[in-house]
Amino acid sequence: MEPFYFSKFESRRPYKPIPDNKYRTLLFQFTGIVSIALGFAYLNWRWRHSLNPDAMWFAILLASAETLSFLSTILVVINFWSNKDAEKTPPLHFLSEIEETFGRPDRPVKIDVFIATYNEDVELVRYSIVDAKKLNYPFADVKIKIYILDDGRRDGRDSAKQNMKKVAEEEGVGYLIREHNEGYKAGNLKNALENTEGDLFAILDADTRPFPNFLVNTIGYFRKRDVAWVQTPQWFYDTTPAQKLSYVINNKLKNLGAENKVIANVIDFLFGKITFNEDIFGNDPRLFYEAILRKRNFYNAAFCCGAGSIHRREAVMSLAIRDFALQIKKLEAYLAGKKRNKTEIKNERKALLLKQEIIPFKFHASEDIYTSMMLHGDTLNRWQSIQHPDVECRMLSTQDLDSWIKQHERYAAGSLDIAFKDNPVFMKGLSLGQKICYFNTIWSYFAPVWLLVFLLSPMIFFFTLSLPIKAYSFDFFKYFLPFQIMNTITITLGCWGIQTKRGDQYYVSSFWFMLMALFSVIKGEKVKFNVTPKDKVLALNKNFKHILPHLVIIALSLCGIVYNLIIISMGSHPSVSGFAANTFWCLLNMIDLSVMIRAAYWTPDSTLEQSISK
Amino acid sequence: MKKYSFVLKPMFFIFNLLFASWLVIKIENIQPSDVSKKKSLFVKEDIKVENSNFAKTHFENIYSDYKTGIVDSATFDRELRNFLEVESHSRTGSK
Repeated sequence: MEPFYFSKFESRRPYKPIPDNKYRTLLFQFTGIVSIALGFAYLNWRWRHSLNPDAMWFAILLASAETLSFLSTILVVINFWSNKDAEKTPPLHFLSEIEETFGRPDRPVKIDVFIATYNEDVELVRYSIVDAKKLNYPFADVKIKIYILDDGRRDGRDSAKQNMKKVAEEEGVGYLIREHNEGYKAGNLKNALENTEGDLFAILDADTRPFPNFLVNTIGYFRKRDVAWVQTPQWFYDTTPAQKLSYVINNKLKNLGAENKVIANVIDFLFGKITFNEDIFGNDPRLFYEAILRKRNFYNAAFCCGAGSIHRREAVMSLAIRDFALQIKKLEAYLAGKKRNKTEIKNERKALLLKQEIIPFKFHASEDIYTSMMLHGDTLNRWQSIQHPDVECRMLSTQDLDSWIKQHERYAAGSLDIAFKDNPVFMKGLSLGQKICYFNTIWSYFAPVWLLVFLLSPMIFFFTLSLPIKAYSFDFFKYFLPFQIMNTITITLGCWGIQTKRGDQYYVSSFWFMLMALFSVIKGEKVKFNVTPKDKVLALNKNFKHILPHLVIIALSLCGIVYNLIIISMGSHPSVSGFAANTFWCLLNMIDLSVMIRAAYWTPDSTLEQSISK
Repeated sequence: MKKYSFVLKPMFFIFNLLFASWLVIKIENIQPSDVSKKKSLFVKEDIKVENSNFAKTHFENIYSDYKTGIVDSATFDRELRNFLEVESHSRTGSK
């Protein structure tokens, strides 16, 4: 097979999930409650005693941002409250093990594997097909059929395009296409479900390569008849590896023509453990799958993320039929309201029956979370979801900032669109825990609102010399420090064993595109379904627009610091303590913002083998 | 005993809430002058001002905090009341 850039990462193995520990959970619950109580005390003091009357607009702006951010803290504590992994069971054999046969003759279960593709390199898709063909299953009579769902219509009709159909034929797998792209990926899956007959089906993206035991380890969950889908963690095996400080410095010296092995050895001796450049694009989703989604098993609120999930056909089809029936009912009610006679209603209904399609996955840019929400809210069937803790497949991550931002912009806009059109908080059928968890996901996309205030506050101080609080007094620290310290301990316990540094940095650094996504949804713009490029794309010129706001904030911050230093040296600064506090915040902000700037100009290292692979 | 194990979690939850409330109240009562002049920030007995020299310094601290804007008038008023109350107790010898 044709080698790709990711071929050098083939030997990487996925992480093992953190074992559950009930004492750690209890400690988390303890610190979580204390943290929330301290947060309330801090905000009580902020609103009642600390607002600076001389700069009330600034004071209220910052206090509001802190309050909104605190709501996130509460939601995170609720999300992480407990862990409840589903019991693992051996793979099943017969249809009667997963559903009632109602007198029909029993037979071995049928499993389909769908590989959805649009415009990816066909040779890249071949890797996924080859791995899917290696899937194990202990029962020889259980049929596992693999299908390529090609929304790019690359069946040989267009000579300018690669021939996906040919690859499918060469590999001996099914090939399904449709003549339009309605509904994007959801539409592609709908077409697949109409043309296949598996009782269970797995969804893989073009770059998703399952490990041989993917089905063996997950199909058993469907013995519980209310399990609608199982999501496995997405693991990107091509993230940039860590590099030793000595290697980074020596590489710079090499570019200047001053490479020196002695210097490298001295740096290695002194700072051998310090590493750089690991996961430069913040692609590692372990925090999301292992901490956030896995802990939602407790509330039965883990949502589907598409690739790497296995579904019960009956669940998505029942949802589709329910929606279909609702459309008919709505039409009947509408016509009855218009005082139409019975014959007219009958004719209109008939026309709709012919026109209306059965749609298993919601036609939406965030079809995964939307469909999950609908299934969780189905009061008739009370479907369950399972977030499986072990990594069962490997995937490719975005390899340049522009693609990364497009991908995450779609996630943000899709989730916000759901919030404005079909808010889970008001959705009937969802439990309180499910509503909170879905709201948590949506609320996290409102973060740019308060992040922008946090980023701009030091600058407002630098240039207006107005403090948002009366003084950085003893009271400020007595309320703020315990809350911050306890909050950090709580998050550390909640994310035990998982690196959060890069995620935190990208959380701040993503403020701009998330703000743009929020504006576009508020303006009512249609959310675009951007297909994430899985190939290496390097578009440095495209990246500049993404980091311009970051550069402006950093430049203004530096100007502000210099301006204030001049005033201090003249002895006329009104609040030196305010300057110190704001400079500290400003530096933290700059470190976080610089992550995206570095990613924008990142180019792969041709001598990567010298770096440390993890 | 196992029969009653279901009450453990709610009890733990209530204990957490009570502890968190206690901690918040204690933090609210900490004064700037308590820091470094007390054996522990959470021991009530230490609020008593030991001698008149210390009382004088303590009074000066409160006043200078107010004057430099570190504390507002409401806090100043509260601290002054606390100070006068403790002062009168220490003079009469009562707690």
